[in-house]
Amino acid sequence: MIRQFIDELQGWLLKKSSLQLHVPHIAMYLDLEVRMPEGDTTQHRHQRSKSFVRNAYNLFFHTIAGYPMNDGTWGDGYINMKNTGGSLSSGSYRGFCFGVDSNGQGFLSPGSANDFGIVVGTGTGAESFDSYALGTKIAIGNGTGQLYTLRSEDPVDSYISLTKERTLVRYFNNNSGSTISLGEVGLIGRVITGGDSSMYALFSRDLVTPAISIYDKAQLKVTYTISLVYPS
Amino acid sequence: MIDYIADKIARKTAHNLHLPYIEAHLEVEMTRDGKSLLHKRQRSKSFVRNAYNVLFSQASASEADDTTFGAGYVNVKTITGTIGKRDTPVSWIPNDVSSLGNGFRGDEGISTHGIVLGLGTGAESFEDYYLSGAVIPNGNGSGQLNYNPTEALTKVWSAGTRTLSNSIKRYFNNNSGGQINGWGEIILIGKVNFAYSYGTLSGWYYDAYSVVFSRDLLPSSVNIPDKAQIKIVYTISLVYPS
Repeated sequence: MIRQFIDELQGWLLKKSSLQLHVPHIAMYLDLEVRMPEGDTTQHRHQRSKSFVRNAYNLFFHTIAGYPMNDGTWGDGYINMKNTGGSLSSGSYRGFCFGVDSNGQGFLSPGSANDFGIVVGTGTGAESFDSYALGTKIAIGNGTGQLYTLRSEDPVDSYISLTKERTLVRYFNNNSGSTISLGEVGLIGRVITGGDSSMYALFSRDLVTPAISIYDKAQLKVTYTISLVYPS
Repeated sequence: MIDYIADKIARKTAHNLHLPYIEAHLEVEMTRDGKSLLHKRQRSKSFVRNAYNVLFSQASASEADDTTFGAGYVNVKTITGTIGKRDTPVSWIPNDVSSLGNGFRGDEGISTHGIVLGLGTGAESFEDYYLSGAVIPNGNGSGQLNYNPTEALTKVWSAGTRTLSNSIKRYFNNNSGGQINGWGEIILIGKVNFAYSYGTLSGWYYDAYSVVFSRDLLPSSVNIPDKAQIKIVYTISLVYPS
């Protein structure tokens, strides 16, 4: 609770100082909710996501500074991306185009797929700025240890108090017959690398501490909210 | 002083919260016969709505398709005042921002792309989409400046501050034979794209627009003597977490 208060205080200071300096302030929140079929909420956590990884920073830099994504080395001072398989991807550009409000592009995954969009896992490895994949993705399905993974919901955009937000939601149903432990959540984008080529790039990985139990028959709802504060 | 404190706070809190902290700095230098007539380096607090919208579109994978330009809407306003929008995010795709004629790299003789100078003195506004006054046109005639091609981009990593920077530099020469009076403003124009389709045989389909990312007003108007050379450097930075 105290940690959350300090984070919010720092977030307020960052917002104020960004407004003073007239520079963009990007933030992200993660909301996790587990409900039973009867409607009982067994878990609800709302937290600031402090987990943008290098891929996301590199895309921000590429976009705002107009520098190509063409470095051949991964790490500090280099601009490129790493796909969820761990391979380096570099070129003149990387980013989002085409129609990203439909499933299959951007952060919006079709159903019964977990290559991109909001994905969940059982991994408990520490968060790292250089993460490029979840530790252990939860498989899709209704079998033991599997979650029935629905398509990403249509995104919801809003603008309140100088803050533009996009909210991304995805549901996961546990039809497996037993409890599944949620240890990590990731946001993976389908990033365009060419006219007919793309890659899956992790933007954020949040460790769920302590892990959340998704009981048999429970539904998990994951919400990521990405925001940018505009000056007045 | 307030900016100094705000910078310290932003840097520290962004680090603690693992959030990106973006900065821009502007360097202006005017020389003649090797003598510096003007040299200023200042924090640029002048990103305009277009820059924010392009960043939001890419950070959140949002289509920049709103018909209205203003608070809460995502699209761009071009240097002619028209709205650029499409059912796709706005990006640099499919062009190479490091090549002349793309990104922020205005080519030789081009005063509609890259760093561009003007005579206006209108107050800076977040809604700016062009110069407030007349552009100083390219050329060697009266009242004109020779617009050099934008220099190659310079990326620098500062390990101590964990800051990655890209510098966009352009030179302007006064070959007009006379003094140019009243230089008052600088804009940074990017060439952004709405890439909406691709065909294996036909290639990319995209709309390209020239849009202002930043407009900076000089503290006071400057006269540019004959034979003077101006150097402008925009440095855009992102602080990375450790």
